[in-house]
Amino acid sequence: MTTPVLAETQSPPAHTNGTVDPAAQAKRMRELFVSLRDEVHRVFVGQSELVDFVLYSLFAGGHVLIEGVPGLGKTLLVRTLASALKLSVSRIQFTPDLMPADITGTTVLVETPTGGHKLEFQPGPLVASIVLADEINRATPKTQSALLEAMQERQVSVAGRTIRLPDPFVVLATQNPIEQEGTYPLPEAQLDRFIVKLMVDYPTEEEYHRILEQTTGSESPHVDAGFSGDDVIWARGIVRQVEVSRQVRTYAIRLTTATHPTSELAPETVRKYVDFGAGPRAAQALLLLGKVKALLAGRFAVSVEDVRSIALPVLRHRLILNFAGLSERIATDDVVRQVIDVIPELSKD
Amino acid sequence: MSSVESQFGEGLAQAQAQLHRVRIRSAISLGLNRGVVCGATAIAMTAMTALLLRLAGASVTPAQYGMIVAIAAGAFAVPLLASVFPAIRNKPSLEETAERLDLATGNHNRVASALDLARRGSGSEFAQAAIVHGLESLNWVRAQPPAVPVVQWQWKRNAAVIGGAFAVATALLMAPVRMGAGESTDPRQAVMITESLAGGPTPKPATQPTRQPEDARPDSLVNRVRKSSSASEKSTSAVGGNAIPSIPAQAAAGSSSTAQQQGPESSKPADKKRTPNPDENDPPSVTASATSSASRQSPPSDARGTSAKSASGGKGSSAQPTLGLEGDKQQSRENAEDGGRDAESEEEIDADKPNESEHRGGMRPVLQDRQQSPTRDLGMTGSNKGPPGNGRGGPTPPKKSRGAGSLLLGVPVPDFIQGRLLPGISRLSRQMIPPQRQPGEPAAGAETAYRTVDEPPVDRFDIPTDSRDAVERYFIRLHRDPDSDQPSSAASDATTTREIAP
Repeated sequence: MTTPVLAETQSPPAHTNGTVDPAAQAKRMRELFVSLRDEVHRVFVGQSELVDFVLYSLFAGGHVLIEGVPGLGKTLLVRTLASALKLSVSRIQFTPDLMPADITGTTVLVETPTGGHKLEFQPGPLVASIVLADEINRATPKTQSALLEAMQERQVSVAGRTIRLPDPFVVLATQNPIEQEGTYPLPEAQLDRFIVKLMVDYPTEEEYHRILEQTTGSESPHVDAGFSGDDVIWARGIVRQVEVSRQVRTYAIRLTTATHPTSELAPETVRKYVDFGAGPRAAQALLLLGKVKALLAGRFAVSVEDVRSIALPVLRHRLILNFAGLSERIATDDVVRQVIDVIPELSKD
Repeated sequence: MSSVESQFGEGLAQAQAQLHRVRIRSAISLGLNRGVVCGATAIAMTAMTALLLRLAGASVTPAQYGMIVAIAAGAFAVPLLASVFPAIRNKPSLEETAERLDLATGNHNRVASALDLARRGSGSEFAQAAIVHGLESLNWVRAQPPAVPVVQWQWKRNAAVIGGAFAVATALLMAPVRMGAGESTDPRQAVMITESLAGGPTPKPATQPTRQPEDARPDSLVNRVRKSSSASEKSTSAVGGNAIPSIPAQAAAGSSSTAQQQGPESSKPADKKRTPNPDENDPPSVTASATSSASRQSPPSDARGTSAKSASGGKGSSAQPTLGLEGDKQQSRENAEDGGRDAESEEEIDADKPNESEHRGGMRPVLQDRQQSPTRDLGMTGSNKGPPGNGRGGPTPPKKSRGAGSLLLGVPVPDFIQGRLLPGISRLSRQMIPPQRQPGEPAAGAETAYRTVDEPPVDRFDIPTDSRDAVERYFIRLHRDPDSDQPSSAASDATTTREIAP
């Protein structure tokens, strides 16, 4: 079993003069990441890139949208991650008849010990640190919109009161790309609030072997909850301290603006097939995830390579194709790849 | 400049100088590539100018040739200098050098980020750590050449361009010399050579008039009409004057239409006195339109026979003893063609005929197409093929379409679907099964609920037997017509009845 790093991360490493040593913090951050990843992989086999991006997003403070066909372990991944963290977890199975009050909470009439009655707020499943929104696209837009405030401001306003959500607060949503009958595609405003959209692919043959060994035997693996919300909060604080040079910031801005069809930097594919591009949240996500990657690589400043490596999951769900793009079945992944190819790395080019 | 910046300056100086040199080299290559193209273009253009001057009669002196060379040299030098001078003047900055150095070494922007953070003066611990990282990495990447796109000297392409330009110039400069040597030749000969090259008529002596007389033209329709008219005259005289010369008129009409296509001059010879055609026996070589017209009127093989046949085979010519079997076939073919043409022309006339409604001064609905408007009944009565709705109820056909489907022009979108309601996979089967006695115990009767509360006996009204007759009489008298007699008896009976009534 991996040693939990909770006790170690309670007190950040410090220099002899009392200041925080960035190198030690980066090392501790890496240990936390690796430990958490190994813990998840004890149950969730394979899909290392998917697990890495989920953890990147967790440390960057963003919400994750996971898309894949049924049976690939989306829900298992989220449940395993929630189990590895000592955090309150709730699961919401989104259905068409789910109402906003069902997830945010509502005021109910309760009986007092003295025999009287009073109105009392009953918090919904959204008031938790890790929220698994399973098949989020099956709920109506009304219910989906109830998540907007929670995902952006980390609070819910219901029945005249505002409830602060716990910290950390992460929404891990899953959706199924093939069963589109009776689903409601997520509105763009909500898609923009997911820091990444991850695609789950089928496992390899070796991963199949391990999956079958684990799931068909007499013993089933379990996850030790050795991490807490404080670990995540500490990691998020460290990530925010990573520096970004002007060149890298320029690159992130160019990547974002090149997704707009009216931009001078936009390639021909974007001009032809994209209606609306990514917004400032995309640039924020690029830099935040780039900081996580730089820190995990032992660097203290983000590089262009870091931003480029996470551009695809950050941008793919923020592009809105026009009619031509939809009719010709253009994939947003291909559009984003073209954008990445044409944007120069040098700030003067 | 801070000490950190000076450290970066020292570390990047070598790469900066190297970058500068590479830039200058690239600028020279780029200038040469562009200069070669410009110089070659200038050489070709000046050679063309010299050629035009020679053609115009002016002479090109060696001094002017020197001027051409100078222009070409200038055209070569200007792009070269325009590329090289900015490269020499603009020294690459430290940021650019650092970025290109990172790019060349795969350094994850360590040096460039550190330089940027140092210039910004960021005092955070992570910034300091990043600067230290950048300086450390600069020590081992400083000797590497920075990544810069180098423009190569394309000697093969440039050699081809220069060689091509000189070849073109030589060709252009040599051409006037030849033409100058041949200036004494007859210009008419040149024209003739040009015509022969263009596939025109064979050259003839200049003294021979080029324009032929109109009648000497190769077997035009006018001549054929003339021949046919003379033939018809012959045939008429042969038959005995009974035949009406309608065919020549038709042929003349056809030829006149052809003549209209050929121009006004073609129709003139029909009225003029003509000279005999010396080339009458020559095979006909007519224009395309004349050929097509002639092919309708007559086979091209024998002009005389054809004219004779066509003279006897026209419309309305009832009897022509000179006609043979071929003539009949030809006549029927011509009639069929004429009939087809007439049908087409009738259709064209009908199409061109303005609509009746427009004659009345404005757009009016065509009354022939007037129909009652369909009802707006959207019920399930669509399958009833009744008359259009008149607003008086009854099953009527529905509208053709409704909703957005009606906006699609030319796409019939029925607003109902014929068939059963809620169709699906179902099956109905009917079996005739006679009832059969089934073994079993007879059903046991359940106990009925007994009455718990005493109910009063029904108070029935029974007329005593001895009073029935009196009651009967009473009611008969009571409902008797008031105009009838015996009122007193009715009253007495009523009294009686009243007495006996319970």
